[in-house]
Amino acid sequence: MNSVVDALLAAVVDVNEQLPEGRRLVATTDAILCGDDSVLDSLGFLNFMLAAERRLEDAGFPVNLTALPNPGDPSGPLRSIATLAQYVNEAAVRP
Amino acid sequence: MTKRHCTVVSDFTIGAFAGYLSNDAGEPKVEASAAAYGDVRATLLDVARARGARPDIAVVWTRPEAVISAYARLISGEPVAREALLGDVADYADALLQFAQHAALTVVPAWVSPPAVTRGMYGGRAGGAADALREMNMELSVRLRERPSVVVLDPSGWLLAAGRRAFATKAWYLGKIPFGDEAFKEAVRDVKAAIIAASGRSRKLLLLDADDTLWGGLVGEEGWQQLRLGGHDPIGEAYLDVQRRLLNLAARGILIGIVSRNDETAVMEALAKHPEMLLRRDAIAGWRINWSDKAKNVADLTSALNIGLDAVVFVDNSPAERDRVRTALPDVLVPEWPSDPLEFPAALDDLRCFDAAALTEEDRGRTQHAGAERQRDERRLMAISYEDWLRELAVRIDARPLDAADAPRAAQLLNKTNQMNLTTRRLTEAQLMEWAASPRRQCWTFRVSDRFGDYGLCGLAGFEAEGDSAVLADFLLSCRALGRGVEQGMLETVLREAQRSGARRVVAHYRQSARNGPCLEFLRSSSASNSGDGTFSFKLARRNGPR
Repeated sequence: MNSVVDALLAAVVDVNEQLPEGRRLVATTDAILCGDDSVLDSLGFLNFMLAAERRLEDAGFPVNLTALPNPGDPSGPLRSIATLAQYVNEAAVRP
Repeated sequence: MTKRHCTVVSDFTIGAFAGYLSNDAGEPKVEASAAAYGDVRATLLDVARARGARPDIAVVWTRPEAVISAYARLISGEPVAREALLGDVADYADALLQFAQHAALTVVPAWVSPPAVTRGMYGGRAGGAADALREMNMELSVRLRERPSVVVLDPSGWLLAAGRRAFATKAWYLGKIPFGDEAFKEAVRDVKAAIIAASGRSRKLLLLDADDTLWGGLVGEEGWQQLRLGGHDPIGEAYLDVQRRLLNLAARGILIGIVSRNDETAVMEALAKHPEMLLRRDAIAGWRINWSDKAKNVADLTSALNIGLDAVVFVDNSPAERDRVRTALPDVLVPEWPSDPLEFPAALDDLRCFDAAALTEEDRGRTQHAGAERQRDERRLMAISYEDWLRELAVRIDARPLDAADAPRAAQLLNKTNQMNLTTRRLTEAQLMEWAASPRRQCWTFRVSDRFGDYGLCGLAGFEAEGDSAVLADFLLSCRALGRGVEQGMLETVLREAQRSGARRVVAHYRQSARNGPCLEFLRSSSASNSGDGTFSFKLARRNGPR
């Protein structure tokens, strides 16, 4: 679990490097990634997904987040770092 | 330092690059904004027309197929004549040159295409994409060269640093982002180096430790014969490559110095006698080799070479020494240094702080000048008085109106000179030439030489007619020629030329900076009347010259 969370938090740091102050994600598992409560706009959200895919791949958890049916659905796995970590971990043990 | 405003123009989504550029903590600070991506030529016109919001810097980064329609046809499989490609490039270069008038600095990354487009034997043949791209980039560079404020950067290093993620296929389809984040980050480093270079603020003195930095081993303990330098030894070869790079930097006008806790005799013997030593004594501008505090030695040598600490880089293999210098002298750039000597050459290559917009004759002769300066100091100690010493020097000053050939050096002086500088006004080369082009203004350059050697172009003075006065906009002299009567000679030229132009007085408004006290002292000691608020006025007689 920890290495997935670590990879996702590293992706938060990656994407924050591109963002202006006030529009950066807080690097915690509570960080909201999409929906009205998120600080990310659509481009920021896309950049986060791409950064997360890279970080997860490097950590040995390759996933295709951008292929999810509706990645920006606030009730879906990309709602927050915590929900995303859960999704990735479940996907990793799925046969 | 205030933030520079940068507009980024592109045919693709470039927000990530603009974000990295804005968030980069290094100097100079930049506030970057991406113009709406799409039709680049239209965007260039829009940005140029937006009066009042002219950027200090513009980065115009395009994909070749987006702006060169002949290339787009070529990579679609259509046969395209070379003339058609180069004609499109010429048109695009014209648009860039027009646009570049509206920014102090315009940075243009050269074109690249993904390997899938250019690779293979066919790509490199006449009519292939790789061959076409090479020619297009060459044509673009040559055409943009006519405007010094336009810089073409080679992005191949950015792509190499990004490795297999250099071209971001997925990001392209999802967000029209062609390059990976690492490529954008590397681009930021080069763009910042270009900004520093264009403003004449690049570093000009590199001080290095000796043992385990210039060579492997401890010369004082083991003797020069035992040093690891060259030979059939990977470590020795790496040190030799370090020295090759230092000589290359010296040829570009960067002064090389040694600051080492060591036995001076042993170090000098090594420099003179080691058969594979490339960095001989005459390539070294100065040294402080003793057992004193390194920070003190760095400050002392820098001062002796008449250079500001903000133009110095200090390299040492010891983390403790690096920390000491970094803490004591925060203006000195002290890069982290690898522990493995095999990585030293790459670490030197990685320093972008020496990039310069132009290489002048003065740059090439800087190390030689430092050697001549040592000889002058020796004579000064031997001379009976300061006046005798000045007479012995036989200083000659050659004043000439500023022209295009001297513009790169003049801009360099304007941006680097701190002490004898009336206003410390900073302008790019293009801005300086634009300022000097007005018929109401005169800008003079001063070359100086003495019996020990040529100082090169080291003074600049510009004034502007205002009513019956000539108001000095710039009056500056490199510290390399300071205190030798040159400033008096420069002032005489200014007064004479102002009188010729019909002025009745020359007015100098001294603008205080952190370091230009010597200029104030000079004005106070001159014949000018002093209003007390930093304004000095020289009355000019109609015929008899200055009073």
